[in-house]
Amino acid sequence: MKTTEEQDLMEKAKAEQFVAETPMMEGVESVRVELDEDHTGDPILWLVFRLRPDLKFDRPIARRFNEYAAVIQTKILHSGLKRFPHTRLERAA
Amino acid sequence: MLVARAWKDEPSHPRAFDDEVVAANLRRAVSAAYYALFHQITMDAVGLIAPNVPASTNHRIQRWFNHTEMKAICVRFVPEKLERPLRDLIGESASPDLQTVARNFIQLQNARHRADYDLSYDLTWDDAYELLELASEGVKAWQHIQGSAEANVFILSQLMWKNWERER
Repeated sequence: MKTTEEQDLMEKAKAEQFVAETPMMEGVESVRVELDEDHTGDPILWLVFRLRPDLKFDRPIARRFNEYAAVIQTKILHSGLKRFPHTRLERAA
Repeated sequence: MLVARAWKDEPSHPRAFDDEVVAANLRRAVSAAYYALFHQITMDAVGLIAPNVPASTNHRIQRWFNHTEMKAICVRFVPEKLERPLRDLIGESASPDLQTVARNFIQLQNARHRADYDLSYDLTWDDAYELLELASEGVKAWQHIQGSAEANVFILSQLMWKNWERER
């Protein structure tokens, strides 16, 4: 799957729009979007969720987080964007 | 059961291990989480396409499934409006459960690949919890649709897609 720079920027901007319009889950400080490739070389989006330093990320929170991330992912996938949105977590300092 | 095994692989006493052992266990747990969903789907596939094959040889049929091709087929089930021939077979869109299975499978496969082969991947406890829960949700979603027409089409798509493409 080939992408052009223009399409890449459009997909990133669109994904950022979906992130912005989705109410942020408690415990998530911010979300950013990065462009990358997956293990097969297909272009993907990373949704990078920055978690509050004191958030206890246990199984119930993981379940709530996945529900929250799935809302954003579904918006992206249903909008026809070509890049699959993967999720990544990081801790705020 | 397979997801429970993946959760079991999660190291429960992090302070008792040194960092490298914890990292290795987290990677193993993520790999097991992916295979929990993979085996759930392929075991059902064997039941669908080869119901009379002895259980002892089922694993040979499970090997017909190619990981990369499965990911590519999963991508076809997540849009809001399916393309042909899927639209003709299961309707306008896949059910939310099937979309969850496809979406989680794609994520877990990439995570498993990173966990197994990318030594620069700094896999954290947060990531591991997220991914194990994705597998758990994926298996539950699959069990909701197990045996349904769309689940069967999903399984057959994994093996027959090249033949179906002629219909497009």
